[in-house]
Amino acid sequence: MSENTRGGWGLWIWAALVAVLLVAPLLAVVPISFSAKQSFTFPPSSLSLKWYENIVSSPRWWSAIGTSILLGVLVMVICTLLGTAAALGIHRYPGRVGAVVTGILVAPMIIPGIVSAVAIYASYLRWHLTGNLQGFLLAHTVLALPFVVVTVLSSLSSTDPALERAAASLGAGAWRTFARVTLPAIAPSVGAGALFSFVTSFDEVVAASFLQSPVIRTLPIEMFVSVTNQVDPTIAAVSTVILALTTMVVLLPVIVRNRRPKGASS
Amino acid sequence: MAATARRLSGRSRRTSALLLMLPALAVVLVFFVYPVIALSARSFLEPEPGVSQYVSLFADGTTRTILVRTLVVAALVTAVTLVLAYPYAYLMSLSGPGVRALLLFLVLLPFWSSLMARTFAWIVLLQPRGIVATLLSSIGLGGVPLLGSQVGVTIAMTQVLLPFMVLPLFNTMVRIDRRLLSAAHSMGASKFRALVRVFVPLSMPGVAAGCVIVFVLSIGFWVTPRLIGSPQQSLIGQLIETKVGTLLDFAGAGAISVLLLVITAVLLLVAGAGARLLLGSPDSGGRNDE
Amino acid sequence: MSTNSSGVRLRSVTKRFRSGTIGIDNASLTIEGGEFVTFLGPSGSGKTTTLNTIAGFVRPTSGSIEIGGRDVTKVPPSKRNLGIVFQNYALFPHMSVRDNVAFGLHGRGLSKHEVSKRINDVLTMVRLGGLEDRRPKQLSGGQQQRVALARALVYQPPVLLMDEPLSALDKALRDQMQVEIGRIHREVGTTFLFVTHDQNEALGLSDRIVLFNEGRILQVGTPSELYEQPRSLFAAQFLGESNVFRGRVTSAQTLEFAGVPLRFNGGAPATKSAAIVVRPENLLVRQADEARPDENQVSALITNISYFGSFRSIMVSYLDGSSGQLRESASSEARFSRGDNVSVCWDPGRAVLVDDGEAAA
Repeated sequence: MSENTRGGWGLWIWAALVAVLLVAPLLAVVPISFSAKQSFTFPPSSLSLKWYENIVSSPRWWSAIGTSILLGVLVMVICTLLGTAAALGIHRYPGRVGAVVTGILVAPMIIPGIVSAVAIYASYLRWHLTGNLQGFLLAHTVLALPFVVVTVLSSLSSTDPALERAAASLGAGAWRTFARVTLPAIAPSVGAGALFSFVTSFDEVVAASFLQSPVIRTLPIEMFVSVTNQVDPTIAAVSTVILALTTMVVLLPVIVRNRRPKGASS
Repeated sequence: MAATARRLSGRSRRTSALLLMLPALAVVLVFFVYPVIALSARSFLEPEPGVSQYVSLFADGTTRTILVRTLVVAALVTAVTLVLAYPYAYLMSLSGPGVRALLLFLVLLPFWSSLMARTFAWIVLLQPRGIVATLLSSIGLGGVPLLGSQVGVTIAMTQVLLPFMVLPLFNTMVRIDRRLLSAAHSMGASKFRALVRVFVPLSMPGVAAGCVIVFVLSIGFWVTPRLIGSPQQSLIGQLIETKVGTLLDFAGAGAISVLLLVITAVLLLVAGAGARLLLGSPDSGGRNDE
Repeated sequence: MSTNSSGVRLRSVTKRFRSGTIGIDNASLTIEGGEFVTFLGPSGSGKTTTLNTIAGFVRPTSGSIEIGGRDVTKVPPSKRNLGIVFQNYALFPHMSVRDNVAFGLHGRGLSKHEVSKRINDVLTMVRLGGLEDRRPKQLSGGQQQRVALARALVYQPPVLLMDEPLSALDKALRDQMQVEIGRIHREVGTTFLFVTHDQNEALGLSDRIVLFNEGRILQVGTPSELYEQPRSLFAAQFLGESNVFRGRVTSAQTLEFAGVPLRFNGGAPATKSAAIVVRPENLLVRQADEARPDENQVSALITNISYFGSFRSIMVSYLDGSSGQLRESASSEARFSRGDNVSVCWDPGRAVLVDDGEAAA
């Protein structure tokens, strides 16, 4: 039936325009990062690598990167553990209880970002959780948790429940069933959830901009400050590095999938 | 005997399920749900119990203007992303695995990349005598202020939110049974009629999901309007930030937050009910059995 | 429902897929208006691809297709005016039964009154009156099948194509719908083309059967022709049960099977290696010394006997190690038991000589 379902030229042109709109803006930062002048003029008139050197030499950027990576890894570990456990629990407790728990855990994903940030700020201010790592950690954990819960839950619902029963019927205990049957089945989505939670924390600006202090700043906050003050093109260099890393992360599964021998595709 | 054992194992299964959920639930309840409720409560309790915050909210002309402006921008961004994304997702849904992977990659790249990097990129593009200004003047639209204007904010938000429209649309479209279109053709329907009468209605759950997500994200957007827009043209997120950051008026910020939460809840309910109405059951369009 | 039917003609239709596999290999076929024709074959035999080329969903690599005398090879599906019942019905889930059925009446210049009359008539014919406002999901499998039929018949297409329409139903419902489809065919008089891999559906429903294998049309004929006069080992084995005696043709009248000469009727075979095919009901079991001179006889060992109420099925093993089966009326006295050495006999007139499948095709 493939012969009736190919798109027309108009569709392809439209999609190409959308693709340009999606990706081209990202590329605008690359030339700026190599500019020799302290301006955002595009395209730059002369080239240099000094803004890249600046990332490494400036304690401001360096400590922000360190904070963001530390925070991201901690958030990833906590979210992956809590989120996967919660998804397993929800999966075993279907019906109203499961639905309510899902609703609560997913709420941070649905509630408008600025509302979450201000609400967190108002309470954390009273609990002395602003301007320190614990505050960032808690805020980013609750904001990133939904991504782990949702991805793991969706892969649990698509695994065959008969597998677990088969393992149990073969005499495997609850733990062995989990380790040998359930976990391998959901491992890819646990991995995806972990990546999701790291990126959510690494990229989070809104809550962080309320919780930050001059003493503790994450990378996005440093970028935010740099943009508002029009400091220098170091931010372009930072953005370029982040985009390069992101591209690799997104391409990785594509490459891995293409390496594998292709199954019968219908 | 067996029945008792099953009931016991059922109960222990439920207990272990609850234990598994407990840590995540506790963290979210204490460090997220409570703060949101507390902030909402403050809007009804400060400075005195009652709805005075809401009365002054709606009495204030500036707030009303900002609210309307936010809703207009959100609606505009939603409409533009829908128009851009629908054909794109459609092409994705009918492409072969190779083209589909490429189109998906192009959507996921901005989706995964840093919001700050993207916003900074837009500042570069939208600056006076930047690329977009040059492009616009070449088609006779020169002189439109971009940075610090709603036009610029809308353009940047559209790009940032486009993946959130494409992905739910694609997810719905790819599940639509292509044989339904073959069936429509076999009954004499033209390509256009099959598209309008069969494909488009069945893609509505995706349209609804995409629109709700983009609209909700738009009204809660803060970074892009804050950095690309101007204080004179601020959106509701900036207003909340100003109330908290500058005025420490948590009760006032709470009132606006409650307003946004209500709008979000209503949209979710309407979209859910709409999807159910369309297909007569809660699960979404098109069977994919076989 | 007025009678409105067209013939269908395939001339040397070949479909080669982009992958290089051949879907249809030079198929030619003439179907008369009003006939009920079944495309029968295993999966991947080309029957569904052939149906899809007639429907217009697949464009043949070469050859032409005529419907009602008009060459439609390059006509898109929407302009062929065919009724199609899809395998899983392909009912529009967002439309009521009435809207599903009404869909194909659009743009045919019918008055509102005529449209609702047609819908009522066709729903009455498929016995679905009263369910007009239901959504497909609210119907049972059998009811969905009826909606699919009504939807494809309401605009009175001259040809109705059905792609394994009964495969999604359970056994009891399948038998019931088979009777219904036969009745509807008699009522509307339209040409029915029915694809199936189920020999019972093919034998029970069709005026003629087109047997497919590996992209080719192997044989076309009435159900009894195909059953009684199979022209290939494949045809003999795909339709009904067969006892196959493979051997070498030694004269115009004899085939040597495991050293035993067996007589056959009919012309001289084209190849030296051939097989005699006998249906289970045409075989008799006798004591080893009971044979008659006018019969063919082969020694066999009884490996199993199963009782089926009206008959006994006797499984046997022949000299060359191949197995076979025969039937004996249960009203006759059971004379044999498992492990007996017996003679299996038949009248040469009740057997068919076919090319050995290995050498042919």
